[in-house]
Amino acid sequence: MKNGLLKPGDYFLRGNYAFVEGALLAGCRFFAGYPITPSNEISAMMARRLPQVGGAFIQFEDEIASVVAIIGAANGGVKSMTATSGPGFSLMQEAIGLAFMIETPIVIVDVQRGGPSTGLPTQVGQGDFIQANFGSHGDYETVVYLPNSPQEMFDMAIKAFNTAWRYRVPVIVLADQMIGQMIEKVSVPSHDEIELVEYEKPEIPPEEFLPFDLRYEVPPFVAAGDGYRIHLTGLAHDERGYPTTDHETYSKMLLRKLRKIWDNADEIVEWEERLTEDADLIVVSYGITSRSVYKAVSDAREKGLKVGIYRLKTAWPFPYKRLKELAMEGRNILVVEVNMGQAYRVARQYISHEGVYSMPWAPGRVPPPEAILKKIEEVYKA
Amino acid sequence: MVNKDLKIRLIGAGGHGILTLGMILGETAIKNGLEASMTIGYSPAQRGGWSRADVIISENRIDYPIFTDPDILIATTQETYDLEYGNVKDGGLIIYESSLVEPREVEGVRQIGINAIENAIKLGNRIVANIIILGFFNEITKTFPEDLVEEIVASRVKKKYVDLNMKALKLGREMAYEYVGKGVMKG
Repeated sequence: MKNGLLKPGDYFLRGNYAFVEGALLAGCRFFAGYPITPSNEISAMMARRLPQVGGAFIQFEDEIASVVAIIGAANGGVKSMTATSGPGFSLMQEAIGLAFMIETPIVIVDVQRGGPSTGLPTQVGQGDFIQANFGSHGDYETVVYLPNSPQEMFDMAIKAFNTAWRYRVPVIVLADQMIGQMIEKVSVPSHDEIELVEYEKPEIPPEEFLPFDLRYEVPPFVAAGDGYRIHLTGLAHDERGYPTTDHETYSKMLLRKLRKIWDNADEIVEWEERLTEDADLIVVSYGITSRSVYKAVSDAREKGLKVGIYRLKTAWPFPYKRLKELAMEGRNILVVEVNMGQAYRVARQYISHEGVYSMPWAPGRVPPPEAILKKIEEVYKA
Repeated sequence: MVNKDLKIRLIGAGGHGILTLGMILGETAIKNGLEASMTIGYSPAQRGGWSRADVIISENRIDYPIFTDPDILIATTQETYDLEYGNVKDGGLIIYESSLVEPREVEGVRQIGINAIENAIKLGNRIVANIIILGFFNEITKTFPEDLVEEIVASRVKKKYVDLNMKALKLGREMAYEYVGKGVMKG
């Protein structure tokens, strides 16, 4: 650990710690947060690790201050993140809209627990699926990753920072209590194999620089102190960043920001497919639930049922194109998740036939493979 | 020496080193080129409760990390033994702390009691009771190469405690030889 970063190799690492190490390797040097179970291992480890790599950690008075602090730090040019769970994530929603509005790259990990409200602080949930892209007001977009192992906590930490800084958007990693707290093998690659997105000062002379320049898909990022004039506000603004109520200007500005995600969705979306080719039924899942689905589907295959797996690795943008293709070739779809059917509702929007089924499951525990297999058998007959 | 998934449930009182033991097993498996996963559980009590580590060791990718039917149970208190002894798979193994656990009748499961706590105290610190159990477990089950276990244990403790931990591992192994020597278990 010469430079303070985790050396390449295989580790037996807790999901939440794996995220910390991935984030530090991605260049994260500021963390602001407020403690909440089951995300605490992230903030506790960040408090220990950040000073070792020349970064800073601040515990704030609440989640609102924390998320606003990372927006501020990111505008100072520092890769920044926070970690929370359901109740804290709810408090952060307004500022997520702010980060989108002022095109600030931030990373938020939501280690989901059972909700709503205080819910089940120590137990698993996946009920923030919709909220992660719709919790703030107005039209905005986030990119949301769905890790299903400590290895993916590590990998997606790096990915989250890269996506946030490439598109200048808030990126959310939607983990869950099981994935955050379970321990598994995490392979850390050689550091020079890790590709990182870093901001570069624009070549435009300062007097010509417009912080929200409409000629760009993603305008160049400048940090406070780089010598460029910037003005940031949550109000509708023009290319200079100054408030405006001019409808045409605002339409253009809003659409440009949304299109960063809309037009690059094919690049951003990720999913995992197994055994789909000959399948009659595809089971859609994500996070810890997908681990139970792996087992249920392999048991179903042993019983001769042609079942495949479509695992979401991004929630938003929703990787619908390939799923739609599989469905339209005549396959039925079953969505399994630890909530009452959030991803199911989204999947149904894209698939026009009737064979889309939901397996709702209350938070608190992961649906066991036997329960999923039973549902598979039930749906398979239909 | 793992042919398929090996599911180990470790459970005991807070302070018995259950989670550490789980971490050592997992880390040793990884360093041995195997896959491992571990999930953790606690009793609801803030003090005086139990903790549980469920470890799976496998040659293959581990699809599902949660289980209820361990191949091997290691229990260090009566309360946790009573919670779990009935869940052990047919043909499985239970290792219990004999100074704290009165074993029950279980059909089809081999049970071995070892007095790790008193022996740890004799070595100088009761904190290494879990390491005695580790030495015993590994000698009985031959799960990992002996030197790899030593290496992992040594890497996890402060320098001044390495010697104590090596002694604990050795004692655990010797207790296993003695146990096997009794003829209760051969081969």
